[in-house]
Amino acid sequence: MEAVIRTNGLTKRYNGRPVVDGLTFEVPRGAIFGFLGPNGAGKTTTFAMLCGFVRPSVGSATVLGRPLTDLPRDRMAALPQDARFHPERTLSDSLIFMGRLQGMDAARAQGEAARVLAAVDLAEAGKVRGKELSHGMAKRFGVAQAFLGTPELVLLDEPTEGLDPRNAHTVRQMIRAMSGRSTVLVSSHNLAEIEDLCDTAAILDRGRLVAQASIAELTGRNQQVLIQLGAAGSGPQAALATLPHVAGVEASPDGLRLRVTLRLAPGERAEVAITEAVGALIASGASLGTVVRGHSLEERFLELT
Amino acid sequence: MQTPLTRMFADAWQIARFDLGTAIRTRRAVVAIILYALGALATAVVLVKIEAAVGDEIQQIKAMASAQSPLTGDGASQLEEAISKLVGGDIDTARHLLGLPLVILGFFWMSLTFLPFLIVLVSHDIVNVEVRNRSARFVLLRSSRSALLIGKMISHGLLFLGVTVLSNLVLFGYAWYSLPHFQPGSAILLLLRIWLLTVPFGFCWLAFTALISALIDNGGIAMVVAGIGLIVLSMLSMSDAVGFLSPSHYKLGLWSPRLGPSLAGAAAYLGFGAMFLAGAWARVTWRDM
Repeated sequence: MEAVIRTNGLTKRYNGRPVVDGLTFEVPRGAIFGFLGPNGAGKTTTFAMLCGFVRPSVGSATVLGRPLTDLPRDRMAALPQDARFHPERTLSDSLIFMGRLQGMDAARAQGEAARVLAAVDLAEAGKVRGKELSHGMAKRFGVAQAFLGTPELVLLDEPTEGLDPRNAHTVRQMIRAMSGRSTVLVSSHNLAEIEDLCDTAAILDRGRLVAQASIAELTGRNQQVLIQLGAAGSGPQAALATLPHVAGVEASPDGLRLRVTLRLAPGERAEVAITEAVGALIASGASLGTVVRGHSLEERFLELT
Repeated sequence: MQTPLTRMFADAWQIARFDLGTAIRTRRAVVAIILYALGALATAVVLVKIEAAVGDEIQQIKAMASAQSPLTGDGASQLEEAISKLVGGDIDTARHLLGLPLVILGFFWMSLTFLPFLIVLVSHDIVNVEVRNRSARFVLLRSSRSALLIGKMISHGLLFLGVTVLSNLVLFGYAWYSLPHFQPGSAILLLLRIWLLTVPFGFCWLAFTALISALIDNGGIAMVVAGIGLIVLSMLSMSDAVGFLSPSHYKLGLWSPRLGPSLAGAAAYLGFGAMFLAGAWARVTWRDM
């Protein structure tokens, strides 16, 4: 699959200390790609390098096939995490200015400004000046400017940080709506959000890439099932162990939780194995609480970082 | 189809328009206009009073200057001597200046003396404010660093051009109203010449300020360093050995009645301005934003 972002040993050092260290990863075209890492992992610095704000110390990258020194600015958009807007200008003025820089004529820039403001629930705030924005409004405005026009690639650094649940939901809906039209690289501390939104993710820790895989692979959705039982006993574990798609069963000390490792042949769907396991448990007389496919991204994240 | 260069200039113009609009909405333009207009008005009032008081003597000096005859009378010869000292002992230039309306002469002197300081005062954060609060990032997502710098230069340049034109009009109107001998026709031609010479002069100091602003992120420190830089360059210009390294060394050329020295002075300011701008560009291009 064609990669819209390709980095090769991307490194940024400040005072000799690497903040991003030899980062090599690819973002496939059309993906909603999650970028995860604890504070200080180098996510924002990586975004800044990919947007051309910060020069790499070593290494290289291409964005939409072009080097970082010659980015295709008319084909990409971004939400920088900590950039501020012109305090004295209204939101409409700023968006029209940005639209004009993107090559839109005045009428289209005006129309786009109104469209993106409405999309983030700021339709009534066009005349509000930058210095009058609350944190949430500023964040929504930042998201709005990233959705001006029809960029092929959108980089969003912490797009829902500090937003109330309703506005965070709106932003997630906007990101989902980009699926298929644009490639979106999104960083977030909200792991459930990444799990929900993204197809693929990369995990960074102390400037280094520690994992890059599909969300299904990272969460083991096709490798593992967690089962909560209503009552402990050896019967359920024995019933599962005999199944052809079960590679192993591990019980918690109290016997109420089972971690079932699946064994799937290439092309086999996990749903078949899960149905088989649930059927065997019911047949053994076990009472079921919950059945969860895979572990959470949070668990995987904590394992890796 | 836009080439990278035409795209850069188109972007720079958009950035300049937006920045100028912002300057007009903020204290920046107000401070510049008030300071300069007040300075112009104060200069006009003082010079008009002087011109009204010694108008007859000045008319006599003008007549002698235009006849290319030696000046006679203690007051006139002393004035000629004093002015020739101010312009590096150049008698021709001194006589030329004596032939100009005092009010315009004074205003030109004020422009050459105080405009650099006004530029430093108003434009010390021309680059670093955008870097410090990272608002430049919204522009750099859509445009080049060169367009950002050129756009800001155009915006500030237009602001100062507007301020000087406005101040000139204030001065012109006041002199016309107050002086019975004031000749608006010849005065406006002189003002046009002064404006033309002030453009490369102002460009040089704006580029110098942009360089300091690109090198120093802290706005206050950049202003102090640029102000000290102006004084140092002014002092350097007086040195016989290395004075030519300072733009201020070429200020006298701007006063000359002859086209050659005037153009040479303007070219020197353009050259220094281009060097300062190239330095600012190199810094803006390679630094982290």
